[in-house]
Amino acid sequence: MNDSIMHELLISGTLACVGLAALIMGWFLYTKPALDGQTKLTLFFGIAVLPITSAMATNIVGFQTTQTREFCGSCHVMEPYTEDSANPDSTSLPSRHARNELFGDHNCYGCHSDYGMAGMVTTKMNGMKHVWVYYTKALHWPREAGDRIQLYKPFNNKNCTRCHSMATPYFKGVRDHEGAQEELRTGATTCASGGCHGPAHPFSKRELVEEPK
Amino acid sequence: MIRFRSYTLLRISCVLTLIGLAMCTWALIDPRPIPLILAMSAAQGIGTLAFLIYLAVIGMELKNRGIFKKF
Ligand code: HEC
Ligand code: HEC
Repeated sequence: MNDSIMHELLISGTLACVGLAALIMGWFLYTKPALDGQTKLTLFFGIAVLPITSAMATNIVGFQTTQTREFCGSCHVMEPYTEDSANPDSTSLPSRHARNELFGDHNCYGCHSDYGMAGMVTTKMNGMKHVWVYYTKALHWPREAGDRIQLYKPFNNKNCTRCHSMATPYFKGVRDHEGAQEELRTGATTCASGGCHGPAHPFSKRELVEEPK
Repeated sequence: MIRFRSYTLLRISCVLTLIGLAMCTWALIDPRPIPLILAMSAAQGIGTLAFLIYLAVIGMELKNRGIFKKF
């Protein structure tokens, strides 16, 4: 079944759970029934079973949602990036990664999430930091914020090589890959260097935009 | 007295549950950063608190009925 249909189904199911729990709450608060065993059992569903189910489902939906490109575009300074990826005529590296059925609609996450076991957690922690910086600083920046937005750490080549193996004959057959193999492995040269596959977001690296007075 | 306090506590628990559920609903129908963060943090805490209150009330009732003395 299609992922986005699953997503919609999960949302509808969760809303149904929430609605049912809310009905039970409303019934208890409004009709003030006697506190007998039946009432307690009903409340157990309303306060425990249904809300815990809803909370878990909300977390799943939340994690899925935060991986989508659409979500990345919720902050206006990311719009140039998301629009570029969504543009079928764009030839930028991210947009070329936006047309794949498997991960196209969450291509930002594909390149920008940390790899490894704790990857999801560290990615989310960083994301929280981004939200904080956005609301405390970037809210009034122009949409094209230019060089004001930088990665915290140099881009890690493992974020490319987790999909593009460096061991294939095709990869090794590229002369520049062959020559730079060691630097690519250590990260001294990033895959997205200018002249190689970068700059990844060509429109973003230009003169600093005037600071608004 | 006990009955009255139990009832009030359960009503508080219900209101807390409703607040938590409202936050979840907001995030589900309007999935932007702030609603999502609230739903995945504050709402979970509020819901857990509501559940703990419920457990405490039921526990108190059972204790008053002397259920635990059997053990
Ligand atoms: C093909 C992999 C790839 C995809 C897909 C991708 N990025 Fe990037 N992104 C990079 C790389 C590599 C850099 C580092 C750029 C550099 O150092 O030149 C980067 C840098 C950035 C930066 C730092 C500022 C800048 O412009 O260098 C932001 C912000 C960013 N990306 C946002 C996004 C968003 C939003 C999306 C989704 C629309 C996205 N990226 C999709 C590879 C990608
Ligand atoms: C999530 C997996 C994934 C990641 C991460 C990823 N790629 Fe790709 N890349 C692909 C796939 C799949 C294709 C083939 C495109 C397609 O068919 O949609 C591709 C295509 C390419 C192409 C060929 C594009 C073309 O139009 O011919 C280049 C170059 C490339 N990737 C470089 C990179 C670089 C550099 C990075 C790291 C910044 C990177 N990729 C990260 C999966 C990935």
